[in-house]
Amino acid sequence: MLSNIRSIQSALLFLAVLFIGLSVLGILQGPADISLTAVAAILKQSLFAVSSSDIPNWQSSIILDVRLPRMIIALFAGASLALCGLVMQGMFRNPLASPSVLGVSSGASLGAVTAIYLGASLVSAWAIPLFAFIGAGISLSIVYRVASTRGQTNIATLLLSGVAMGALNVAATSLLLALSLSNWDVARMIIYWTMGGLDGRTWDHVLIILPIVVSGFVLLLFYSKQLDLLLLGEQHALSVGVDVRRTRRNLLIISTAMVGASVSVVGGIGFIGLVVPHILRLALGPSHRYLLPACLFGGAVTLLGADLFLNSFFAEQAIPLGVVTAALGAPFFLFLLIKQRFVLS
Amino acid sequence: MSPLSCSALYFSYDKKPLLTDIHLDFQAGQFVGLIGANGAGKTTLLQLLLGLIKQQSGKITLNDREIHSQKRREIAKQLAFVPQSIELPYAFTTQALVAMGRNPYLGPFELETMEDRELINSAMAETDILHLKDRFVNTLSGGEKQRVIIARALAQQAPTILLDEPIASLDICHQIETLQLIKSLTQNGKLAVTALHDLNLAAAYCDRLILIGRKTDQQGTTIVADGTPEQVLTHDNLTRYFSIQTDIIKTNSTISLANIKPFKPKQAG
Repeated sequence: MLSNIRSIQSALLFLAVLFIGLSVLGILQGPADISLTAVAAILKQSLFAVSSSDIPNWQSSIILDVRLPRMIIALFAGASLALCGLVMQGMFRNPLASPSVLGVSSGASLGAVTAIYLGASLVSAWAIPLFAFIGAGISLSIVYRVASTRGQTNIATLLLSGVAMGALNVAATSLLLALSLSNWDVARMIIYWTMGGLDGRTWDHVLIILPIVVSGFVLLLFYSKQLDLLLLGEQHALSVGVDVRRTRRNLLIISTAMVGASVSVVGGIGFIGLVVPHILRLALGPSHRYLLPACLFGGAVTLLGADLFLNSFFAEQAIPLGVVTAALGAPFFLFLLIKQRFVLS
Repeated sequence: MSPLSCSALYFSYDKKPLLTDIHLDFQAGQFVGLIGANGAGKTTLLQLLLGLIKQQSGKITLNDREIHSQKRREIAKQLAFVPQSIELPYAFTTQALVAMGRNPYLGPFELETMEDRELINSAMAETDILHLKDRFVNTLSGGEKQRVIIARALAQQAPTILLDEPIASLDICHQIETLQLIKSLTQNGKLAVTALHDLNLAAAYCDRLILIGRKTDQQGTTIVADGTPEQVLTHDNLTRYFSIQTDIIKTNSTISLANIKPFKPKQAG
């Protein structure tokens, strides 16, 4: 583990460089070959309204309408999942807590599917994220209530109630889909939505995810000291002046909003929320002052990297993103655990 | 003005009352020992006084103001707490953990000033953990962790410290050192309220003992004796509330217990 501040800072810098590098790759990579200079010209053109006629229209629309929103969504969805995982692991003092394990992601999915089923998604683009937020919020507050007695949170109960809540959410989602099959238009929309992923994402989706994740991250920065203290336990946090109940409630609202936003845009992508914060905590230590920015970059890099990997090597087959994140992350995670076990014993 | 007091406290976890009719008033400079058998409610009383859990009825005042109407940050400047269970599984350095005691004085992005750092250092010096400064707390022994938490409470600079069995996991030398440290703090005007199991150490160091026990005709526990060690540790109280028989030896102004035996009341009928 890196203990001095200099090496933590250089690790953060490395993640930031990786973030920028992958973003450039994300724009360049795709079935159509568009050179870096052409991309630069297109971006200049759209940012400063400079007209340069030597760029074909199809190229600029591929960059501006397909690749750029896709890349931005991958970055922010990944960042949001990693940050939520970090916050939940810290708040519940459990390395297994993550949006998918605690049933929050499936709650968001249920909310989104409900929005489609009721036809609310046709009324406004914000209906799906709003319903997803409500679904995630209800799931998380039920799980949290069941597991907490007298201000103490029982970790085993928390995880079990998360699993139960997740099962209930999945069942309810399937039920809604089954009920909607008589109306093929609705069923098709639900099926299309549940596939998730980054294909066909537009600036509308960017407008949903970007403000929520950025403002959520800024708010979380204000809580970095409280998160450190909550990691030690409720009694410790309370005795040095953290209003535990209020802090928890605010953190739950922030992370629920972020899960709701990312699930409504890219669907449930597991594993990032579990593994990225864990790996970064093993590498950088438990201080949230560094972990919060590290998870922002780390989550973004992981999801965008997985997407690039899929597009470069398996462009023909439609492999879901979650498969890659799990297939690459799980062995690495196991390796880290084994290594840590040997170091400790 | 009393730094901490409570009146007519009633608390129950379920419907069964646990603590009833607790009236207490503490003065600055006191070293108060909280004694009682297992399950008497020592920890619960400390948690109530800290405001961690809320009583069903009654009132707790910190500096003459109801504790639940004050902000936690303000309370933390007045009241520090050393909890009983100290699991520290995360790899913070000892120094970072002691520095958390300065949290109530610092804003969300504020770093420690020179003054804060001096307070942190002197708290580590007083608890004899300066040599552990850069060690990770998850690699420390139970006794070392206990002293780190006490150091954090000292760095908090609160006039009142509540301690829940602070010496339970320490070896005998550090037990005595810790009690001497608390004693010297109270001699400098702080108030310390400490739950203790070892009656001999309690009698030797505390100015005032509070015995919590169950009165025969009641369901919950309450304060059954409150006073100097000599007034509280009587043959009658020891047999009734601790089920022990013992010799009480008086030397100068302190008392000690020797020849302690369990006391089995004869079964009636």
